[in-house]
Amino acid sequence: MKKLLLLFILVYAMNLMAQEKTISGVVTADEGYTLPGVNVLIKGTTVGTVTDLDGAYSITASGENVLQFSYVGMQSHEVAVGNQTTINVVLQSNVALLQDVVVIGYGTVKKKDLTGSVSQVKAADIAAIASASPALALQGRSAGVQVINNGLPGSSPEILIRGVGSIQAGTNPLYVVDGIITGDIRNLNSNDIQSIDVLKDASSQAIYGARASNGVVIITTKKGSKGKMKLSYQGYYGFNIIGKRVKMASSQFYEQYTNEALLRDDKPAAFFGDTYPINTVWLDEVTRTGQLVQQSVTMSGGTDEITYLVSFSYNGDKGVLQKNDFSRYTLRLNNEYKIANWLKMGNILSLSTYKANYPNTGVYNSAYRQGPNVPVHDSAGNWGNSNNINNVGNPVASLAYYHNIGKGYQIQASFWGQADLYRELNFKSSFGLDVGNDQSKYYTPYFIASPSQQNLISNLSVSANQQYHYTWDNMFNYGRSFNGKHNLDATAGVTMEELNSTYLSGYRQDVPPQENYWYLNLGDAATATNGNGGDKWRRFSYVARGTYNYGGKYFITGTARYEGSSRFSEDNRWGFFPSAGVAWRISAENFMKDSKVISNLKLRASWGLVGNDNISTNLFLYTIATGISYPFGEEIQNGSTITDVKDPNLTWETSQGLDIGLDYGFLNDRLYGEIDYYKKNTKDLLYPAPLPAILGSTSYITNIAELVNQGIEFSINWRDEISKDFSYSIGGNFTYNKNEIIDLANGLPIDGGSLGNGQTVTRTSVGEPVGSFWVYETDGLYQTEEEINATPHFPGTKIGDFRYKDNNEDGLLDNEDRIFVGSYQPVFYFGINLTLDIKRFDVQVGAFGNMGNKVYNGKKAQRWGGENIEASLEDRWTVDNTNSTTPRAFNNVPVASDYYVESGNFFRFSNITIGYTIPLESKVISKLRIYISAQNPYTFQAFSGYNPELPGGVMNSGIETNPIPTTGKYLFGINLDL
Amino acid sequence: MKKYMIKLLVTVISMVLVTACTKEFLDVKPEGQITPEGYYSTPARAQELVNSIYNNMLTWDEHSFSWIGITSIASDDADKGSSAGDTGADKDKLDNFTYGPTDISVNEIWVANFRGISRTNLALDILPKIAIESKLKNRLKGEARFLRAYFYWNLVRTFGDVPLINSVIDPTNSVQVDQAMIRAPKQQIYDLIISDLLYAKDSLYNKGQYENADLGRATSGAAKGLLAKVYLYQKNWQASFDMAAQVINSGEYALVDDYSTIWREIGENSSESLFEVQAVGGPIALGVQQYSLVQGVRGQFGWGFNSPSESLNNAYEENDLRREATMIYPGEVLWDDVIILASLPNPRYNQKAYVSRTQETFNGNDEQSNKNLRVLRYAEVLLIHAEAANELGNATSALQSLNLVRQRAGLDDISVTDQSQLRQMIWNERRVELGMEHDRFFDLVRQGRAAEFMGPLGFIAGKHEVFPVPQSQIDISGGLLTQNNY
Repeated sequence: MKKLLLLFILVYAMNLMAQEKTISGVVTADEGYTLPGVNVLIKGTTVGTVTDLDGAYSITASGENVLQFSYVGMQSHEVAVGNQTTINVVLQSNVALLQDVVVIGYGTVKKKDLTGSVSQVKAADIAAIASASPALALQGRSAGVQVINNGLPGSSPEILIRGVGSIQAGTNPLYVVDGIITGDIRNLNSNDIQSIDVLKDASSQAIYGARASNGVVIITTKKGSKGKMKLSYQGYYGFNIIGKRVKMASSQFYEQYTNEALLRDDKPAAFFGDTYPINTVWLDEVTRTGQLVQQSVTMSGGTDEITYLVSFSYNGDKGVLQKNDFSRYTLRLNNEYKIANWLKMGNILSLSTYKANYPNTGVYNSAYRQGPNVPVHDSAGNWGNSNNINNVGNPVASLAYYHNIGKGYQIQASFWGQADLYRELNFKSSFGLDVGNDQSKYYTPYFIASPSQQNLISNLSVSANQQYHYTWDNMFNYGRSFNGKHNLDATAGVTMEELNSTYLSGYRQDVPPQENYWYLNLGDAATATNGNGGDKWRRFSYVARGTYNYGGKYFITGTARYEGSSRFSEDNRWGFFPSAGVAWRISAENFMKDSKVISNLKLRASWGLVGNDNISTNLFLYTIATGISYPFGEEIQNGSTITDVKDPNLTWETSQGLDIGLDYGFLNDRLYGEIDYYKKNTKDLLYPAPLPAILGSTSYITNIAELVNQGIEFSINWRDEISKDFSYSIGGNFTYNKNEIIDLANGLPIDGGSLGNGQTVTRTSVGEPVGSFWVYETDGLYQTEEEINATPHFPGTKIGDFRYKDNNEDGLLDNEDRIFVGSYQPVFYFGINLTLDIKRFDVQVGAFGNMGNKVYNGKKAQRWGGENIEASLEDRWTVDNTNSTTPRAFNNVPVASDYYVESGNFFRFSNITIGYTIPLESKVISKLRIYISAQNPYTFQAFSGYNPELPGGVMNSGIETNPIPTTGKYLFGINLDL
Repeated sequence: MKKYMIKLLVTVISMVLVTACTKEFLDVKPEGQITPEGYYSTPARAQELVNSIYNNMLTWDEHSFSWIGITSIASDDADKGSSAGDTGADKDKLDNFTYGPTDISVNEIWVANFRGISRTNLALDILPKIAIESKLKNRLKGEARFLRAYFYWNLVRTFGDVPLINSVIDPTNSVQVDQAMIRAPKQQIYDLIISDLLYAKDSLYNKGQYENADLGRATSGAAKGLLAKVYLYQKNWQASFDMAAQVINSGEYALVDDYSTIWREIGENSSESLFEVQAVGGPIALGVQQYSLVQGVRGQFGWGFNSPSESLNNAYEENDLRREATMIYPGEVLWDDVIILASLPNPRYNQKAYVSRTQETFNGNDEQSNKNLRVLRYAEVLLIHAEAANELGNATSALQSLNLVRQRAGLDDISVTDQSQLRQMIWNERRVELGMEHDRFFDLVRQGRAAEFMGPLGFIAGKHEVFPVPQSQIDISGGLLTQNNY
């Protein structure tokens, strides 16, 4: 009671002190021009005004009031009135484009000072992604970045930055997490990430030298900041549900079709009588509703001496495929210490551990192929089987006896110190460590599901992989502004790196079936085999970058990396990767400074050389292959020889990239975006050049191909704040890319896209995109024997089969008649993002899509005799249905033809989230938001199969042989800040 | 200022330390990989080099599906088998003589045998430089040359003229590579095979001279036997007769009593065996990749390819014990009491490829089964002897050898002495004695009877005697390789 009284007196006293006065001033933007229409508000009241056409305002307030200045596209600004009567305010732009700092490798730069092309995705957009890999946050977010994901728990999506840039040396970008170069980012908790920056043009990438040509993805994790401790909790729970399904045949139709196909080959029917209904829906039998959970807690804060951030998270992902799940714990500790005025030190420490039951994805394949008339179990309780009809096992039995589990941990840590040496010159040394350990067990028990699906002796394979990787960067930095006009920033230093990895594997038979017995020691020692190997490489590089701008108008950047790699022979070890970029910020010129329409206009151009050496170590060295053994007298004797032809002059692939871009902003940057043209010419592509078999080997890796990616990227965004309670934004990004092979070894094409049945469906050939579909061209169905005899046809062709075009008109059907019908690479891809804030509600919608690419319906084209068919074949050619375009029932290996090539166009809603911030009168809780989110809820697709997103490697992508369905994730989540 | 100097100095020193040893830093020895310098210097290493040539015989492309396709499915001894829809990539085409240069089987046979030849040439290049006692060195060279002869023998029978490679080719020397690509006339290949086998015959150990641990290595007897067969193909009757006689008179070999045991585990490396590809299906399995699986009873043990034909089934005389030992019929009870399913897509399966899961070594791994591939056995030497003798007009000697083989099969002796009639009988005997043993196709071509027997299956005389040279190899050669009549 006493306290209350005291408070009352205090408040009364303060009121007495309040002296109302008139305050006036002018509000200008950081670019120098005055801002009309700025909201000026006395904090905590509804009293306010707006600035006039000259940016001037006047308001009555008292000394203890605080004025709030807010304007769309600008950071809000608060000023305590105090004794002032004139308050002039400069508002900083908060448009991503201008104010944001982007991370460019060994440094940062303001987006507005950038001469290259870098896309950034921010924390809020990353945290929302329910996936083990934060890389999925890039999906549909920025032009030039294509993310292809199969959706399996714990999987890593494929990322293509500005097209397919390599055939043999991988296409995934280089990941740099807080300065540590790494190959995988599945150890990261999305909530820990501050930003993801994608270096897209060669001038930005060149600082990473021989590994950067597929682009660089730089991830920066959150740090603590000075002030009171903040604690936040992020959690969600949700379901994972199969999206599109393909309707398969009923038992009746399956049996009819199978008999018809046999009859066609003059074989007796397989099914008699009409005991039809079993109608097993195999996909349902092997799948379930998946579940997703995340719990994440972050604490951060700091004093003048120390800032800290601690986070802990758990992620659980139970896949739709039975027995497939992935869970992960992460712990992070990011600290920074101010030792002296001139010395700072810090650490990053990230620990993650995972456990996985790996998917038996082959079951999706057998579920597609197994007949619907086969029961999961027969009436006697035995596994149903289809022996004598087809080679497909019982999918449920396959799952039941499949055990493939993994666990592991990863430590990513760095320790750094930064010293101010002399005036603006400072030095930073940073030692980063990336240590990983993965263990797996693969156990197959004794079982007999059917005569052709059995394993008579149990066996266990275990493996352990370890990786140690360190990076040590030593960098000088000098940044200074002369006369406020000449702005110079220079970075130079050295970096060294070593990777050392080992694997150890073992195998034994006759291990008991209980999971706690799955150890090699409990198996039969006489059956033991083991393996052990390792890898080691080092790099040493000199790195330099200089940027200069004059008055914020004219920018020039130059970088260079001189890199030595132990992966190549001494004579071919060192490479030089220079780059240069210029920019002209037209909107900063006097003639445009006062424009009310154009708020930002910057023209950029850049050029650079980058490399790609992502191949096995020691490929330039002849090595002896051991274990080329042979059993003499019942004992296996070791054999060894040289099996592979090597190229001693092997070197990295080199890309020369050119980028011309324009950044624009209109109406105070309410409308903004970028346009870029790029051309990336990759030479010395590592490629398995075919060798004559008389040399004892059929191919060898050498630098003997060339390809080009060129394209246009365009992004456009509109944002507006209609009122305090209603703001929205809409953005789109669009990419056109053309990929073309310029040269291959001896001009010989390379075939890929094997369906595993002797048919290949892609060809990588000069003048075409990598991995183009290359197939026979169908020309309707044969209706009469005469038609068949009058045209070239494959042996065994019957009425109702496809007529294939003899395109070279030589009277024969062979590979010469195949045609190119497009590739899996989209001509055009895009993303659309929308946000809406209405009072306490917030809405985010994300969507992306592809156009102009093709997919191959591999599962349908892979059919062996007697396997299930899709219900759509009801409409096949029969003697009574001769107008059909679907061929008659057949058991032959389907010929690779355009019939199986379908449009890959799709438009997918990747994310729809609706959140609500609960109003709370709490001193403890500063924010409580609940949300529901749907990820991948719906896809408009042309493809008749399960999923048009089909990762699979450079020459085998876009082929749906193993149908992994798209899954939709539906989440309920909470964000809580204290 | 002093403070700055200290800081600067510390930094510069650390930078210098970092950069000083760049050269050493980047000289990383290949981790976990052996480089050739100095490696092949001991007898054990020399042996490894030769063992790797034997290893080639276990590969999928040397002796498994494609070899089965070319030597057996293409012949009148077997049909494709399996289910109607499963073509085995091109086995339907081999069965019907509709295959072409782009089909996979011909490429696999080409690649696998040249890989074996290349490993041999490397071994023959390195062996002379290794300091080991000459007897072992000569034996190892003999083994290598025996195997090279075998690989070339497969190539010359399959393709006719092929490139002759008898030394290591430098892949970076394009002149040398181009030169090597040109096909040598068949006769030159035969000359190389014969010279290799003559060398092998003299430098290899006899069967009895090997340690038990070396069981399965090429022997002098094997070289003589193969030489007898090569001379037979060359119609060099006297040389063939002499070689066969040397084997017979050596006393090292004898027919086993029970024909049905020859291809079983108990018949491995028997008194009848001159040369066989060794396989172990024990705890650690290493066999001819998927050889048994490909031919296993469909729906019960394997894929069911290479189904013995009606024609082979009918080729046996009544009471010939060999038919039951060669065939598996649906519904029958096998020697190991296994009941074969009654309802199967094919009427017959190859019993010579069958591995018992209960009575023989079987570790659950049917991809690497215990089945030894019998390449050359004494019964065939007797039949070669008989054929050569008959061609030389020595019917008595011919009948003597022929009847030994017939007696074992439970058949009556033959006494026909008419050369032409006897020739037919010996050829018939070859077919049933060696049924499903990868001999029939080449035997018919050699005899000049290919069109007669395989014509109804699609064989065209003047074309199908040899298989097409793989198109991919022609493409890589830039046209230096020429095609057969395809």
